[in-house]
Amino acid sequence: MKETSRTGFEAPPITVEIERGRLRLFCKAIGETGSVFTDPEAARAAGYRDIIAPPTFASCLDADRQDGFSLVRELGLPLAKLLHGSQSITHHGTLSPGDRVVVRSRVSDMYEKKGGALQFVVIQTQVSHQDSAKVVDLERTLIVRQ
Amino acid sequence: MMQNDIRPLAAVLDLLPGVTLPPLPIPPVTRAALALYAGASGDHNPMHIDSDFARKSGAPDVFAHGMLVMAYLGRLLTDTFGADALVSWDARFVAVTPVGATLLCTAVVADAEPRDGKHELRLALSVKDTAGELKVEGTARVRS
Repeated sequence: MKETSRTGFEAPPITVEIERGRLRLFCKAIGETGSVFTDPEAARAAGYRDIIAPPTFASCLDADRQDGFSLVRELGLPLAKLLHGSQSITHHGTLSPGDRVVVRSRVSDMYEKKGGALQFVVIQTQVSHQDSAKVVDLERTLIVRQ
Repeated sequence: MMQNDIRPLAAVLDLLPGVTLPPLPIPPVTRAALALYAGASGDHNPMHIDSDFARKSGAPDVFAHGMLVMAYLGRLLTDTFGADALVSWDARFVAVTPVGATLLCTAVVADAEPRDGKHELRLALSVKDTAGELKVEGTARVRS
């Protein structure tokens, strides 16, 4: 598929609650044992309300959504040919269990290289608190090998 | 778990350009690690967890999620500078990390300067396997 017309497409915004159990599993999955990520008491002693999420966690918030929406599926990107090309993350704050955040993702660019052999899809995601204070901005570039 | 507690910020933010942080070695990437990451992240792309699907799609086997490898780099940064010193960072996934690969995460101080009244470091990041093949390269800005 060589769709390039979806630039500007926005996924339906979702509100996600940060769950303690998911943070525990995420830390286990990435081998994170640092106390501010795993131990509420140590996190409070370090000045946080509770444990905080490791810095790549926010990238997971629009995957496996409860509403079933998937940008990858919406854009018709074939999983077998899909690679994660690059990722940038800008932090404005931290995430802790019980936080309810709004996640907004949009396709900011789509383009081709090598005569169409490679298709690039750039997706920007903003995570903010419900009072609209920004938490993290993410940009991922997906590559489809045709 | 005290063995992985955060080192004092002041000491590391005095680092000078050219200094390499103590690298973070990652044990061999197992299928279990990929399954765990798929569940924890919500990224269920079968290329990372289903060898049959991966082979049918032309890959020799499953390979790691790019974001799992970036998370390892994140550990190096938060271990060194603290949990929220990271301002912004980026990663370019240069080559896939196949199951079984052993990785080493490295950060080198590229630049150190005051910015907005704070001390800021710019770092060059890389992840290589034991053969020295570059998997991920990137940059990071951290602040006191």
